[in-house]
Amino acid sequence: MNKDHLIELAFLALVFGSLLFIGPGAVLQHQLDHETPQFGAVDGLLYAMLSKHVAETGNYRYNPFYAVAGFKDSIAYHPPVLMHIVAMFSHVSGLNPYSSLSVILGVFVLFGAFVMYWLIRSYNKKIAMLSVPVFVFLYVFNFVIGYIWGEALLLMGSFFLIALFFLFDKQGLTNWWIPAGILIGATINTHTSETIFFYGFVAFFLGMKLLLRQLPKSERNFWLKQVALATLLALIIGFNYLIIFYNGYYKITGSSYTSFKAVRPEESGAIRVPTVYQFSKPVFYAMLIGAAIALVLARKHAHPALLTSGFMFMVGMSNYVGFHYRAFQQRFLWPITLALFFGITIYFIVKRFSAKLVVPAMLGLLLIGYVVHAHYNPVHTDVIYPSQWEGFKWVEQNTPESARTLFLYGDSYSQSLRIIKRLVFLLDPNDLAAMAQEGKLRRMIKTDPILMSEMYLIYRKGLFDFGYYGKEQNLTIFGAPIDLCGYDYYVVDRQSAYAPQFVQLTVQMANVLLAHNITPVFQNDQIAILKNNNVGGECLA
Amino acid sequence: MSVLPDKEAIKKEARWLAIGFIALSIALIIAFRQSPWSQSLRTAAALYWLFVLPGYALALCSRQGFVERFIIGVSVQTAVIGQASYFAGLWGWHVATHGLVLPVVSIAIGVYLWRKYEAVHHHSRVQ
Repeated sequence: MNKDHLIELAFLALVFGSLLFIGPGAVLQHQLDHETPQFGAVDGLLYAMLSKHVAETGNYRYNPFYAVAGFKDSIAYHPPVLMHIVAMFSHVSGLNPYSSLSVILGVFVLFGAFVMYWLIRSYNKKIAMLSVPVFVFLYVFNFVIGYIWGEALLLMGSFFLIALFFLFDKQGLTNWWIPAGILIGATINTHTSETIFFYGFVAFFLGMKLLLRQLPKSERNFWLKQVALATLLALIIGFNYLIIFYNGYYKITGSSYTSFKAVRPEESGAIRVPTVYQFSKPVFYAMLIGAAIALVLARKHAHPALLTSGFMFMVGMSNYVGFHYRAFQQRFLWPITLALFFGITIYFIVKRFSAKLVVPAMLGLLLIGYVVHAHYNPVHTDVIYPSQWEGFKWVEQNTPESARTLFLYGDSYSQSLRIIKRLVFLLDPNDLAAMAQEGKLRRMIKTDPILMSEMYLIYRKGLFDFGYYGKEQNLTIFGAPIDLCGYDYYVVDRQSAYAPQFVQLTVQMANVLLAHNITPVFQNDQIAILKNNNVGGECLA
Repeated sequence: MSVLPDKEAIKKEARWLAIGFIALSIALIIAFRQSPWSQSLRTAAALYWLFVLPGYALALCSRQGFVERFIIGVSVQTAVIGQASYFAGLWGWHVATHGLVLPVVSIAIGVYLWRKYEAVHHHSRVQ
């Protein structure tokens, strides 16, 4: 092993060790196993719940009954691969499924960054070393939201997409179509929008090479044949999920995917979209110059690394031509996919002074130190209070499987309740406020069933034949007011950091309930759980 | 294009894989310093067992350099094991034992293919 290899090895160990520390390490508060999911939004909590479901039931054929209004044969319509990877990892590592999801995402995002490094390295090793400081932005706001809010399928699907980009630099690979087909299949079964981006990249890659007159006929034929074979293999692998996807997501929410609507980041609603300016001014300007240089360099040699960065920049900006949410999601990975632009600029400055590898290595480390010092703040998310968690466990372990539990109000309940393995409902806070204004309690109240109901509770009748409980049955749980006295259990929070006025109201409501045939069965400093001994009877008079 | 690794090359690469395991374990121990060492070691072992070793085996006959094979192998193995586990689950096999059996299958396939290609390669060298 020569000196340059040693320098690079030490550099990579330091870089990726540090990223593991400031990224997954900090988000998980430097502790591998947690009893509760460490995500700050509903997506992460949903995938944590589904991963646990797969680990416990052994497969992802059906959605958990408590997430689909009690139906036990409502089929799983989310892409299944990530949940299976996490469930397997959980069984082998001994970590619980919630923590396993965080660890798997953390590790594979970093491995994706390493794959991108190696792709850039095949173009120019020094540029690769000078690109890595941008990886730090993965853990800087708003980019870190992708991880802490749990955009789990996106992160895993994007890992497979980056691996596919890498394959475009390996034309000499034996039977190229086999690994490519397996990876395309994985994008179908993990996060289907990455499959579409992959074919966009194929068109971009071949189009650019053709335009730049860098695509001889033999190479064109090679790529067309290999991509066609890979597609065939991917379709075989993704066959089952594509049928479910077509009858679920496509048929029901297809219009939101197939209709084009230009959206600006500030119009994006709940999601906090990263913009290029969040790379900070010096880094942003360096990247802008790097992008221009990359364009010039591509005219000489359209290397896959250059084309990958150019393509992923355009994907991230495609909200302006109608790809709205899917474009915004890809921006979370910009610190990996656009890192090359920064590296190119710094490389062209540095190469005037020294040709030795130790210079970009040292400068890369110094720039990482600068980005960490100037922009990084450790973040961790844990939306469930320990006392709330105690209550959740009590509900799971002490109530019958068919019990219906109403949560009156609590901090973050709109997100965290979905991990409880029971049918749970949340009193609509707007209805609560309306009752306060009216100055009286009503029996018929609006509640939000904590369900995965986007697909109308889809079920499978045959290979291509699907039904929808949500359309076929007159389910009263959606939208219509429901009898407050019809629940088996009530959960009342005693305090709130965000809306203490709601807690005052719900405590008053609980006092009225307690005056009837309703008794406390569990309490701690945060919550009280009440049991209704006369379900459907009078509870408010 | 790199050639197919022979037994000697695989022995050398096995040393690198072992060094990688030690580095990963140390990185996990430091990053998750609030957890017991044993948990970090088991996590590193799980990552190696599920993704790295079977991935390395699967990519043995891909005629690339070590790191390129490592990247392709781990990526493909992650895709393979996730999808195989999904289908195995649909057929009624509980996920609890997938992590023990599926990596063995990947390693067996990888070694079988390598031996097959190696035999052809060796035969052509002799001729």
